Amino acid sequence: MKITTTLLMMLMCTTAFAVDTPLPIDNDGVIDDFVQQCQKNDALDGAKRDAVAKMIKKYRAEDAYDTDIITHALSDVYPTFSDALDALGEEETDKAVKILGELQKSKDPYLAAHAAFFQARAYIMDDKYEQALPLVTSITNGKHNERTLYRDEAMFLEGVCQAKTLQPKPAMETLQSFLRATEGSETVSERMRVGAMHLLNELAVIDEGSIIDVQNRMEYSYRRLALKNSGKRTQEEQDRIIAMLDKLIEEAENKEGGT
Amino acid sequence: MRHIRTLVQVTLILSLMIVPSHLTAQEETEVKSAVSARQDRVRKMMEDLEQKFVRLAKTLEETEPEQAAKLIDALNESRQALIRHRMDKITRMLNEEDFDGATAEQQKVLDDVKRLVDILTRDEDIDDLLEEIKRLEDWKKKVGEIIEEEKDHKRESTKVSDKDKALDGLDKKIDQVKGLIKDQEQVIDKTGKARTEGIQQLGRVADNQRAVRKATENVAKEIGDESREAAGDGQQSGEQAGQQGGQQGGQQGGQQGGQQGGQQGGQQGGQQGGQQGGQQGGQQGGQQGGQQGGQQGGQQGGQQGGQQGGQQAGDEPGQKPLADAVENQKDAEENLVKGKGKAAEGDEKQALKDLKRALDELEKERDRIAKLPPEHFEKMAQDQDDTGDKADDLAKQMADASKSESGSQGGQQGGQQGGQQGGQQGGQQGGQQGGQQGGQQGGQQGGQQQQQPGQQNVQNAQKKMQDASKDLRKQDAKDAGKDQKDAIDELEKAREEIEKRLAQLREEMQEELLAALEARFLEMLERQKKITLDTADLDGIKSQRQWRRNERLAVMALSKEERELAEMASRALEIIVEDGTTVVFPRVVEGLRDDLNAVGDLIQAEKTGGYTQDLQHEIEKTLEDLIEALQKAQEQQDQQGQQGQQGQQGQQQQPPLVPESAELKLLKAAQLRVNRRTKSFDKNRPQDLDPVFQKEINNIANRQDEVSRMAEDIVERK
Repeated sequence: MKITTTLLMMLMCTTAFAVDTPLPIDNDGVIDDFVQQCQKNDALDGAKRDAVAKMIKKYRAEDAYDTDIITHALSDVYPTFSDALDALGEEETDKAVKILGELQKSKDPYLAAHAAFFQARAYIMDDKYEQALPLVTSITNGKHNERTLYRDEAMFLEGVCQAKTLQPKPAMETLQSFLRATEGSETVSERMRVGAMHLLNELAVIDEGSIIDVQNRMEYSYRRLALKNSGKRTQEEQDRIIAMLDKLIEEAENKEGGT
Repeated sequence: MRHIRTLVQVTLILSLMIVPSHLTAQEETEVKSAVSARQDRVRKMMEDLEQKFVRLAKTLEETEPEQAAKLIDALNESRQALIRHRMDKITRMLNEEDFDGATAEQQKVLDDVKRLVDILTRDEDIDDLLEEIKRLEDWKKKVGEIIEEEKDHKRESTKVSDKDKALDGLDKKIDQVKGLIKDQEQVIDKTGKARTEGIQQLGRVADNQRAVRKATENVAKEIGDESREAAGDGQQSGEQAGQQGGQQGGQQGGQQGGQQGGQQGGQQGGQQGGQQGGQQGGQQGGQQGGQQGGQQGGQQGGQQGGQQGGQQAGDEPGQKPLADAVENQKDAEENLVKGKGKAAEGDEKQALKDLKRALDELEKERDRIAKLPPEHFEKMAQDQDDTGDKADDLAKQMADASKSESGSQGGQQGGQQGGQQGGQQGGQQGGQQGGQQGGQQGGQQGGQQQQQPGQQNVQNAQKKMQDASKDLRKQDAKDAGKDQKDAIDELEKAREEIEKRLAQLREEMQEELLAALEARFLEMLERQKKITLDTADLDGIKSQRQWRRNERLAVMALSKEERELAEMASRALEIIVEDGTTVVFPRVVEGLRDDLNAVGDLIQAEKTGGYTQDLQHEIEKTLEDLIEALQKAQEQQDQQGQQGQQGQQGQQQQPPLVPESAELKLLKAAQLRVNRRTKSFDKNRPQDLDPVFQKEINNIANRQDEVSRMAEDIVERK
């Protein structure tokens, strides 16, 4: 069982899902609100407000749906946000995490929401799923819920993070919700849905206490140690592995004839 | 090793000469003096043997310390068992006409001498088997290389015999690769643009890269298929052909081998006097051989075919660079979806280079075929001759091995039979005569050669290669191609025969392996315990005062001994890896070897403190775990033997060396070591990790990764 492979498939699904489709109503509302917020935002000068309004107008005239439209607009008006995305593009995750962390304190709720989303992406690039999880949850079910077009993608990432942090049941529930919510959707890439199904299948075969479960937890322990986390959580999981192995040994001995 | 074999033979003869006699009272009285004289002679031989043990052990001490240690073990065992003293006692009993007491004592002494033989031979069988396995593996590799060369010749013959078709095919491929180059350049361009727009854009380029990769794979596959067709493999992929051929060949070979084994077993059984036992043994041998040979041949054939399929991927011009391009395109896709634009660009550019290299190779090949000079046939014939010479050399190696094997086996069998006959006939003269006769018979038997697996096929292939060479000199590439195809078929059969024999040997080895490994690890544990105690003693002295010269020398000796144990672990690892049926075991032994070397280094640096001693205790624990696993495996093997389950398992596949529960215990022990180190690290970790602590936690993470891989191996095996 290699969740890493599936993770890759999942990440594949998280990036390329902009397609030429009609704009769903709720997302249209998010964009309208974003434009209004920008107009009211004192931190932005008149030229920047105009630039945002112009960009959205042009976008709507093209009648194309792009989940990145708010990101593009924020990049144009906030140079620091643009720097963070550049750092992410250059794989300088430490730098990106630092800048995006600061930007989450912004009074602009759209900037804060997008900073949270991209900081989660940066953490996931570094296998830091524990740190990424609350950030994606803030988008799927928290304060940033209505401030971004990345909600589907965030729900998907939430499922990934839950799976990687040994929460199989919540992970399965999240991924099932994601599949239900995006069924027949033309705005979500089929590859993302296929990735979710693959992960669901993998999670479904992890019987608690099985050797697959043991191996999964060993991988978890390895990832924590590689991130220099030797604390309570890591040790608890290591102890659980031993308890599971004891049970498996007992079962194997019974099967072999109790020798 | 030769010296020890001689000692073993002497000891065996000794054991045969002290077989308890079953005579009537009158006969006993008549032969009293003769028997006691014989017993006295045996005692003197034993005394002589013990002296030889000592002398040989001294000679071997420097060059072969393991063998020397084995001799000392045997000698100690002999002394502890008071064999010589008890032989004196038997002589006295015989002189006093206490035949019952003498018979009982003889039986005990016989058991002890048998144990001596066991000590002397415990590694020998495995070494012999390993030697044969290595030899067969070497032949298999050589046969594989000759097959690949011959396929190259066959492909060339096919091209030359239909030049226009070959040129058309190359032109088509050149156009396709030119198209791929254009598409790859576009992907690079798009990636560059996407990078300026942020990581969300990069994922979209992954789709484009994927499409180009698929197209590259298709062109590579077409070249591979055409190449296989030209080499006479038809339209099947290498893997399919290998699986089918392997299964068929394995089954056929297994049945044949089984029948032969059965006949041989029957004959041998008959010679030994038990006709009924011989027949039974023969039938069983035949059935088991057939079943096992078929399954193993099938499995290995499949794997082999898969490997060949993979190897063939690089044979034709353009094929290898296209395969490289596909790998780089895959990497680019992965990086694009991860948002790693910089890395993706690097992979894309590398893929472009590969594609250009493929184009270059294809264009050069087209030019070569278009301008083939008339003397090219002579060159082809010479190349064919070279490959024929390699086949000839291999056939000779096989024949030589047959000669030496038959001689050695004949000598040993003859010696033993002669000794046995002589012993039973009674009297020194009979024993000596028997030994001499046996030796002569052995020599005669040595003259009769037994063919090695695949030997005949290699010889046949070599003849076909000679025919192909003649055809080429007549500028008849078509006929040459047919002969080359026949040669390839013969070589494939040779490979199957070799694989079949290898499968049999591996199974035989497994039976010997458990006991030999247990003995080795027990010896290592005993020596390690002493080293651990000595290390603690020396460390205690160091805490009170500086070491003196003799103590420093003792430390160096301990370090040397740790390295010797590491060597022993390496040797055990080699055997376990060769067996190949366990997944956890080799990794544990590998770790053990590394720990032993690490402790050797620490002691050499005079670091005998707590950390080193902890590691030594870990080593002892690992050895105890391994021994327990092996003992359990032997118990289970015995049980299965009694219940006759071995045959059932054998019908499916070669059973694992150790049972699942034992492997899980080793896995648990390995995880426990990681847990202990994690707890200890966490307890002592400073607020900020300095380089030493960073290195340590990295080491722990790596160990955890290794343990996780062990578990993954178990999962994959299921």
